[in-house]
Amino acid sequence: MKHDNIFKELRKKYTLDEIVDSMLVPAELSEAKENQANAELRAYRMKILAGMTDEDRIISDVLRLRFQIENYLSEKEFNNENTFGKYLAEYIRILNRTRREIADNLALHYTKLSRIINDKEEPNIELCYRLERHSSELIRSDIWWRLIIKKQAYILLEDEKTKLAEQRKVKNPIKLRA
Amino acid sequence: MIVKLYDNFTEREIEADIQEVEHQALKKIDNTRRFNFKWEEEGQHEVYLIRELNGSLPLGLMSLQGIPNEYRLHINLIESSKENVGKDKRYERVAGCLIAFAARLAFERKYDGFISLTPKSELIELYVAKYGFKKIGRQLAIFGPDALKIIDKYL
Repeated sequence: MKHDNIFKELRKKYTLDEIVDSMLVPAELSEAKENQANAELRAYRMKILAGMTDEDRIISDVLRLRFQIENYLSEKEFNNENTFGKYLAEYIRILNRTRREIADNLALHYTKLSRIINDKEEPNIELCYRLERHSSELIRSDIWWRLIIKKQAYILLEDEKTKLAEQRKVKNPIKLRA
Repeated sequence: MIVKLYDNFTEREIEADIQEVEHQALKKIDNTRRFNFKWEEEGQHEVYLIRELNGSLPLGLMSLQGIPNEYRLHINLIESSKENVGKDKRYERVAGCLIAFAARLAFERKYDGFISLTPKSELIELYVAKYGFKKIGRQLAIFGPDALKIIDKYL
C-alpha cells in the first residue's frame, strides 16, 4: 500500500489533472488481478505481433533507423562506419527493394546511387529532400543533411594538405596583436 | 538525449537531457527529499532522470522494465520533483518527455514503440486523453504511429 498512501497525500495538494501532468502513479493490484492484467496485455500484444504486415515492420524499422541516426548525430565524433552512404544502404535493406528500384524511385542514375552508397560520391540537398518524401517524412531531410555536414566538418579539420595549399594562395591577411 | 522543457518562471524553453541513473545514486536522490516515492526501491529496474542541460538536480525520474518476450517496455513509475508538480510548478513537459523517451527506446529495441503502464484506476481516463494511450484490460498501452505522435510532440 506504499503507493496508495503517497497518492492519498498527493490528492490533498493536487488535482487529478495536475498529478497526471507530472507523474505516473502505478496501481497496486492483488497478485491475482496483476496476473490477469498481464495475461490480457500479453494476449493483445501477441495478437498485434501476429497481425503485423510487411508495411508495419518497415515503418518500425525505418523509425528505428531514424533514431539510430539521431543518436549518432548527437555524438561529437565522426565515424567512418556511420556515413550517409552506410545509412542509405541500411534504408534500402529495410525496404527490401533492389538498388535499381530505389534509384528509379529517387530519380537517380543507378551508378550515382551506388557511388553514394559506397562513399565514392557526396550526396546533395536535392537527394535529402527526395529521401524525406520517399520515407513519407519518417526521416526528415535535415537528418540526412546533418550526416553530410558531419562528414564535411571532419574532412575540413583533418585535411591539412588542402588547408596548407589553399592558405598559401592568400595575401594580406588581417593582423592580430600578440 | 537532449529535450526541451518550458520554464514557467522565465517563460522560455530550456534544454534538458535524459540519462540512465546508476542504482547507487537512487538513495542519494531519496535523501534530497525532492521526491515523494522511494526511488531506491526501483533499483532492480532501469531508472532514467531528466535534468537541466549541464545541471545536476533531477527534475524527474522514470522506472522502466523491459519485457523482451512480449516486445514491450513497461513504465513502472514516473515522478516529477516536488517543485515541478501543481499549478505553481517551474517546468512543463517533464513527464511527457519521459514517456516519449520510453517510446523511442521501445522503437530502438525493436518493440515497435510498444510501451505499457498500469496506472491507478482513477487516473486511467486522464492518461488516455492526455497521451493517447489505449485501454487493454486493466493496463494502458501505446505503440506504432500513436507512439510516434508522442515522440514528435515531446522529443
